[in-house]
This record gives sequence, C-alpha cells and structure tokens, in this order.
Amino acid sequence: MAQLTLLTYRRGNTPLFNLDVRCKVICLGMMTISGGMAGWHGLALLTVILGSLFHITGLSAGSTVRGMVFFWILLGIILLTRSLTTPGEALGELDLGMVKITLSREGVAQGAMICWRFICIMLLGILFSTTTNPSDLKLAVEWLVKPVPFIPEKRAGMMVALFVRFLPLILHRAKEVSDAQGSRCGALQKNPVKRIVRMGVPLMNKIFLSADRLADAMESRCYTEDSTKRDFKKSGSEIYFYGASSLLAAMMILL
Amino acid sequence: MKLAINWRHEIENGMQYLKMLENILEIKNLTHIYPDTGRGIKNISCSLKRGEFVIVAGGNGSGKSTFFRHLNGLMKPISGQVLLHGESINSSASALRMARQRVGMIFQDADCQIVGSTVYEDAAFGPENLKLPLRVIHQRVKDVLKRLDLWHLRNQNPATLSGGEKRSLAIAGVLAMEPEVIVMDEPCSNLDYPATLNLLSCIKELHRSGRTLVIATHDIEKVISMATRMIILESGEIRADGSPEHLVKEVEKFGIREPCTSKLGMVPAIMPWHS
Repeated sequence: MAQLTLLTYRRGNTPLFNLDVRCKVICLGMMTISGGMAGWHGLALLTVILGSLFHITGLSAGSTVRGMVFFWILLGIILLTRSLTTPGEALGELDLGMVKITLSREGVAQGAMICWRFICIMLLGILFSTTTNPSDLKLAVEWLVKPVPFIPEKRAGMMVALFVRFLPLILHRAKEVSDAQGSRCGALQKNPVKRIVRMGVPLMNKIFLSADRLADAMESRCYTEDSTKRDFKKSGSEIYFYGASSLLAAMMILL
Repeated sequence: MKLAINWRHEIENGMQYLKMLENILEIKNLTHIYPDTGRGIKNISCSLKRGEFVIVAGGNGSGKSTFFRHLNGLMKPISGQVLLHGESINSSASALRMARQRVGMIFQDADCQIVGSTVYEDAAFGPENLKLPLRVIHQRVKDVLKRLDLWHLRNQNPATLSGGEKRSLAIAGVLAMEPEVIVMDEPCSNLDYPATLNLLSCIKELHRSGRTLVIATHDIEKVISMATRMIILESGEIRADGSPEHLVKEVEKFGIREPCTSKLGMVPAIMPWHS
C-alpha cells in the first residue's frame, strides 16, 4: 500500500473542501501574490489565518513539518546565503585567513523574511492540494489554460491529475529501490554521484515502465480527451471567500 | 395453440443455443515477433465463443501477455488478424474503439491500471471516455461498485486500498464499460488467500452472468475447475487446445504445474481450489 504524501488529497467536509475549485485558484493566486509582497505584520496575519485553516481542515501540523524536510534544508541554504552576502551591520565574523565571512543583521532579517514568505506560500499550496480532488484540479487546469493559445488544455489537465494521482506510487517505488539497495549495503557507498546514479537509474526504469503500463491501461479503457465533461461543483459560499480573500490581501500589503 | 407455444419455445431455445455457439472473437494466424529477442507469438489461430471460460496457460515468456494485448488492439500484429463479431479490430478507428469497449482487459499490475483519484472516479473513467451521459455513468458505477462490494470505499484514494481491493477496482473499471469478453492477465498474482477467494468468487459470478472470460495464468489450479476450455502456449505457439479434463495430465510437459487433485489421482481429477 503506497503512503499518502503531504500533497495528497484527503476527503473532508469543511467549507474549504466543498469550495468551487475556480474560487480556490483565484483566492490562492491573491494570497500568493500578496504574501510575496507582505511585510512582517502581513506575514504574521497570513500565518495566523493559515494556522486556523489547517486546524479547521484537520491537517496535522507535526506531520506537515516532518513532511517538509527537504524544504527546510532549502530554506536553511537561502537564509545562510542571504545572511552572508547582504552587506550591513556585522553580527559576527569568521576569519578563514584568505577570506573573511561576515554575518550581517540586514542579511539575517532579509533571509528570514524570504523564508517566511516561502513557508506561507508552501502552506497555501499544501492546503490547496489536500483539499482539492485531482479531478477538480484537472478541471481547474483546463479552465486556466484554455485562454492560452497552443496549449492543449485537456491534455495539460490530464497530465497534472495523473501526476498528483501517481506521486504516492512514484515515492513508493523510490522507497522500494532505496530499501533494496540498503539491504545490499548501499549506504556504504560514500560517493554521492554514484549513489544518485544507482538510485536514479532503476527508479527511472520503474517509472517509465509504470508509465507505459498506465498508457496501455488508459488505451484499453478507450481514453479520449473528448470524454464526458464534469461540471464545476459550487458550495454557495464562494462569494464570502472572494470577499475575505480580497480584504486579507489588501491588509497584508498595507500592513 | 399449445403446439404453437411449444414450437415458439423450441425456436427460442434454438436461437439461444445458436447465440451461444456464435464466435465473438476469431484469431487468424496471429504473429508478432519482438525484433530484439526473437520471442513473441507465432501463427496463433483460435476462436472464442460466447459464454466460454478459457484458460490460456503457459510458462514465463510463452507469449500469453503478447497474445492478450492483440485481443483489444493494444498491439498490432506483424501478420494475421483479430476479428470481433466478424470485423477486423484494426480495420478502422471505430472498430478499434468498439474492440476496446467490448473486450475489457484487466492487467497484472492493478496499481498502474487505476487512473482515478478516488474509487468512484476510477470506475467512471471508462464510461466517461465512452461519452455516456452523467446519469448513466453514475448508475453504471454505482451498480458495479455495489456488485464488487466497493461502494463503501467510493470516496477513498485508490493508493490506500489493499491489493485485493485494487484488483476488484480494476475489474469494476472494466465492468463499468459493459464488455462482452473479459481478459485477465494473471489475476491471482500477489494476492493473499482471502483476496484470492474473493477474486475467484467474483470470476465465478462474472461467468455465471454470461460473460466470456479469458484468463492467462501459469498457476491453473485456482481456476481450472471453473474453466470450459484450456489453451496451452509454449514459445509463442499453441501447443494444445481442448477441455481442461483432457489436458490436465499433460500440462507439466509445458512447464505448468499439474493441480494437486489430479497429481494425487483423486476422482474427479479437477476439483474446486476451495470448497
């Protein structure tokens, strides 16, 4: 049985789950843009709102934090780089003889703000993907991409829906390969390039084989881009979400 | 008056019998060789009648899966043809589409066959592709999920299902398209004992409902008691084709394990795997 990932849709019955996916996309867009422009107070407000939404949705903060391990590493690198490369008041110095590294107060502040923005945007994404059924996501992608010329919107929608559907399977396959190598002392290999190659080649092989089988299974079931179209589901509370999101976005930018 | 009713009854019975004898699928001199290995299927000819339960038995690499992939046009033969109700399935796009609807295929790896993000959506995938109205799709999906005892799981993510449930969902996805022939590639592989029993009862029920079943397996013991015919493949060629009772003693020559009941000399030689 494949494990659910942080981004996997979970069924629920709170307003966020039942919201029209177009409304979710528009609200997500507004929050992401205003979150990217917000200062400390705006980010604090967004964090409180996100915390409340996570609580209402029933998502566990602990498992969310644990599931973002690689993201934390990336944020750590961003914070360190900003702190060391931004000029300003020195908080500390490290003399390596040839090179002197200075940790600046402005750099730490800037890095922390960028990281906070990234965390908020990531949490918005997690909230969106865990409360949005992939088939609604497919409809949303089709709706978003339709005005863009030269992009087949139905194919794009199907690709996104399949990616979300098969993410747990890909991770499951990756774990299988990793366990198989671990059981043959793969961890003793210290060269990171060799480790990546040894992990990557069989994993890609498995993924391509699964993709081939999936294509066959879809063909067998008469796959066509012109299938029966589902309608967007509306909950009736969309207007309140539009209003609340607009107000929140304005406050985040102005605060 | 009574005579006329009797005649009518006889004619109806006769028509039904003729319908039973009708060939749904005819395979004529089918050949497909993989250029890199030289393996594949060679000059396969046979026909499948309505209501038959056929086991296609053979060891690994005997050509079972390659043969199956030709039955609904997933692979095109180098030579030969597959006829569905007398029409070549590769003659036109509409014939191919009809073949894919009429010949439902259940693959060995259920994980890669499940497309939907919920159990309900996966069962609805095929009918949606057939462009059926939403009302009809809902009715079909509800029927098959209830029939396979999956209705209570309809909103669940397929990734969270057990192996047996995934196999049932794969069957539901195919049944929702209302096929005449159901082709299963190694259906019992990787299933535990209770899941295998569930699957076997489902297969039995499908056959009782009048569907034509074609099952590929190297482990014939589980399904042989239900089968009406057995085709043995070896090196891509049909080595034997007949009733399971006649062939059961010969299967070990072709790398297939003889069922225990037959091996131990029990009478009858073929008994249900689980009674």
